[in-house]
Amino acid sequence: MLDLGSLLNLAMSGITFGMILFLLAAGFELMFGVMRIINMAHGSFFMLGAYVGISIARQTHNFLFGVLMGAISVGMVGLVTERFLFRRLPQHLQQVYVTFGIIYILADVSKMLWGSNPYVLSTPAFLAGSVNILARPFPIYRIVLLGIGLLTALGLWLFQEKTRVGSIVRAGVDDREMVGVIGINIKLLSTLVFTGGALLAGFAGVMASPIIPVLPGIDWDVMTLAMVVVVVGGLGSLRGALVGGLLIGLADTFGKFLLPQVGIVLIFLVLAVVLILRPSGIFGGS
Amino acid sequence: MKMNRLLSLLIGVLFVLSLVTFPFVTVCSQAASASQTKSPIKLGWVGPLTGPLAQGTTAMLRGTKLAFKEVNWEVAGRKIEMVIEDDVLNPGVTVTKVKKLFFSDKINLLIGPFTGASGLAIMDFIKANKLVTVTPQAALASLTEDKFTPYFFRSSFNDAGQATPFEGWLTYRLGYRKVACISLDTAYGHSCLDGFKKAFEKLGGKVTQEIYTPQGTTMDFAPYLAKIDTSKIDLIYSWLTGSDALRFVKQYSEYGYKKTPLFGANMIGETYLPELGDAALGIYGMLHYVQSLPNPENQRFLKMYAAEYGPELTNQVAAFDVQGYEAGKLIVMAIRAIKGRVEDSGALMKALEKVQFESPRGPLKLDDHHNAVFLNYLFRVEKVGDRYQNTVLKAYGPIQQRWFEEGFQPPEVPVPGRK
Repeated sequence: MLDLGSLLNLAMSGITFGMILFLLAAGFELMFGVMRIINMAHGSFFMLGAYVGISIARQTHNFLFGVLMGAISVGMVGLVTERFLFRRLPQHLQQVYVTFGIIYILADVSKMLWGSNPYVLSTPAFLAGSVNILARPFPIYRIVLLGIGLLTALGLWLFQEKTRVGSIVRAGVDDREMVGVIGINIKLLSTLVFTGGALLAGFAGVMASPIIPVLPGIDWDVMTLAMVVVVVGGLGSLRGALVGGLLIGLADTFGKFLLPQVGIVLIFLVLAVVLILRPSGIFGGS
Repeated sequence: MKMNRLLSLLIGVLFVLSLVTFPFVTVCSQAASASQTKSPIKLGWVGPLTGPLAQGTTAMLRGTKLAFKEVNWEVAGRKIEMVIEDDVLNPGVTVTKVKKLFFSDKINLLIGPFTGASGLAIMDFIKANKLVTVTPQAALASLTEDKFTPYFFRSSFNDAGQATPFEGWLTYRLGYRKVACISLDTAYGHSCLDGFKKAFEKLGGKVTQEIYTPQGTTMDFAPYLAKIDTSKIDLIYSWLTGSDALRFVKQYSEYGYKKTPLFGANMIGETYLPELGDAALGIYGMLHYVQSLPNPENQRFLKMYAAEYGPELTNQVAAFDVQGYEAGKLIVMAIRAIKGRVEDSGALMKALEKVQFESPRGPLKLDDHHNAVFLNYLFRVEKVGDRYQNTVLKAYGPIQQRWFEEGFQPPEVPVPGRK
């Protein structure tokens, strides 16, 4: 029933889906790591990125420009919300409430601007077809997505390990007060990290929109998955986002293939097992 | 503690407000009706205007309003008034709203409800109170079969009677013998696939695979697609709806499955076509209305619709809008036939039974169980100029709800408006 070709095909489907989850979760992890903000509106950023990206790509007939602007505009929204909202709210619970508020505001605003019909980003012709891998067709766009996910992971790793700002971010994750004490502008750092995190969410949204049409309600759908990825991978860890994303992507794909009626259970089974064995996630600190 | 006190205060305020305003509203409406010599005809409308079905319901309401607008909201010298209530897709709320419409607004006729569950929920009430009801949707079979009550009229269709078995019958007629099926893992999805299978396998076809997927939560259909072995089948039949249908079609094309034909009605509505683009090209569907139908009544309807709601909404006109319009027109014609005496529910029912007219979807009448009799259309997604559309290929009928049990073979008839 399962030859090597279809096994590989399934695995790659799972991995590409995992890459979308990774892009989404990475931003969430960054925000939490440095600022201890649980950004429930991350799914809304994802949705907004897709809507804006698609609209701009259609206006300019330029796929790349649409992707870029989708990500950047959500980054800007992140910048504004951090600067004018979260900076004024010192308590975690207040921040969580506000992010909930943002979910409803963005959902209504996008419904006003884009209506409730679904939107799909059309890819340039050279990305539209499929290639045969071991006699099984696999979409080219998904291969590109896979590459972009890996490049982003590599880029984020290099940023964290090899740059000065990256080491400040890591220091911020470990001991936020101490970073402030040694004279680093922690407020600026927070703004930077929140903007970057939002940008990643918007990027994930617009990159996913050729395969996952964007429509009202997708904000909650992806948010649930992102939370699972984050909890499995461990709060505040980028490595966790990557491994968690891949694990959940693969679990989702193989779960649906092997047990189509109860496929979604497998995701939560993985979650439960990880929580029993490592209560703070695979890469979570103690 | 503080929160709790605030909450109880709010609840108290709401309670007092509801006590104060309720009698006031009733008094107002009575005063209004007494002041006119020829009192208006009051219609109640109930359906889910919020929630996942809101898009279709809103389209349906636009259609109904258009039918009344066409006669300037006046029939047989009496004004038409419509009170609209949102049941938030909850059958319990439907019952409450219908009671409110009946006792407080004193409606003469009810338009709605939208779902089968709501239909079942209000059946006893409308029977006991002799409230004549016309639904533009609520396609659950039993509403006009075993639960039949003379007060209930359905101008739309009977899903398990007229839609899915017909799709099975048609699939076989078109020459397909081995079919893989994918449907929603809901009671409705299962019953629709059963309807397809019943007809298809009775004729000698074989359903090789049945795949059920959870509603609304599937982001990635790749694993389900991987389950389908295209070398062993000659068609994929899909009964997915809404966002699921959209994602499925997109990924079906993306993974290069397009060599195997896909057949499914709900997935390729006019609303989705511009977004699906080339991915939808060549997909077959079956429905009782297709926007591109060339008959004059449909052209007139679309023109009228465009004048009222603009070109963008007109491009998205689907069966929903037409069903809403039909229900309105049916009511107008019945009221006209009895010269406005809507207070006589017996006469109103007789008039509704007799109405026959040319709808945008072709000739329409009701059978002895008050369910619509109409034509079904086979269509395919094509690109005309730079616009994607569902093009009608064949028409079959007229089909009434018990055609399959009675062994009726729907004849192919000319497509209305086409020579």
